[in-house]
Amino acid sequence: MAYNVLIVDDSPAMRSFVRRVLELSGLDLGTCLEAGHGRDALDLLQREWVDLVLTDINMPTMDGEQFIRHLEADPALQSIPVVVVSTDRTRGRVEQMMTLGAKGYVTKPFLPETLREEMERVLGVADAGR
Amino acid sequence: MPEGKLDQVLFDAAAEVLETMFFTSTLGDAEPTGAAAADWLSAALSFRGGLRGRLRVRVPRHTARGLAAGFLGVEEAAVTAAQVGQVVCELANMLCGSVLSRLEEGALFELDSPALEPPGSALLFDCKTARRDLELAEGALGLSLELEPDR
Repeated sequence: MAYNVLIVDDSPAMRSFVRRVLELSGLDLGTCLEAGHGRDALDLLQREWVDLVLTDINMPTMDGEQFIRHLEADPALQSIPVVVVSTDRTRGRVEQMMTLGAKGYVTKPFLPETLREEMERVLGVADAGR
Repeated sequence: MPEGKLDQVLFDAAAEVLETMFFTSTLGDAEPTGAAAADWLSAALSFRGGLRGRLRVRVPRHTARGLAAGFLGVEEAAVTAAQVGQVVCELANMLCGSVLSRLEEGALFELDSPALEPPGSALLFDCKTARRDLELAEGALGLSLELEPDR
């Protein structure tokens, strides 16, 4: 099964980095979509279905916290698992985002295998990349 | 907080970010240089929460290009000026997150989006709470942390 993934980050460089990690991860990757902030991501999710969302927190227009709140409030989107990928690794922020509904949390900087393992855990995929 | 501890925090954060995401390492401390500002790029972001202040990063342009190539996984010649700027901003972002989590693990922070500073800003890179100049295989990297006093 190929997994469609949406990367939400205001940094085009970081989106490229994450996309490259995904492509090299061995995960069966389908379509890889990108959005620069939560509002763009919500618009995109009205047209495209994804199996997983990777989102930053600090973004203009709509940050990751607001974005997850919108996803959780939308019956059509609330089942999409979200993994937060953020520089903010303070315990308080991790707890806050997980309480809001995030299913995983990866702190930047991260090793490629860390992101892959967290995605596999959240997707319920065993040994997908090997 | 003792100045020595802040210096070590800056070093540890830089080592972690560079080794993990940029596939390079710190070679040790470098002498602060008085190179022309036009040869350097600098990015900064402010933060508030458990602590309030500002983190700045500066790198020579040729170092920035090498770091961007490593980060993006492309040849240096293929990296655009815009991408170099984006990567320096992302470097500042990750360094800030790494530094703050080492200083105040349990706190909540708000980080502004990192932004490139106008040419010339790199020369004004002193008189901060803590500062570290590092030598990399790609060149040099300086970072400074300014903490505002408790109010």
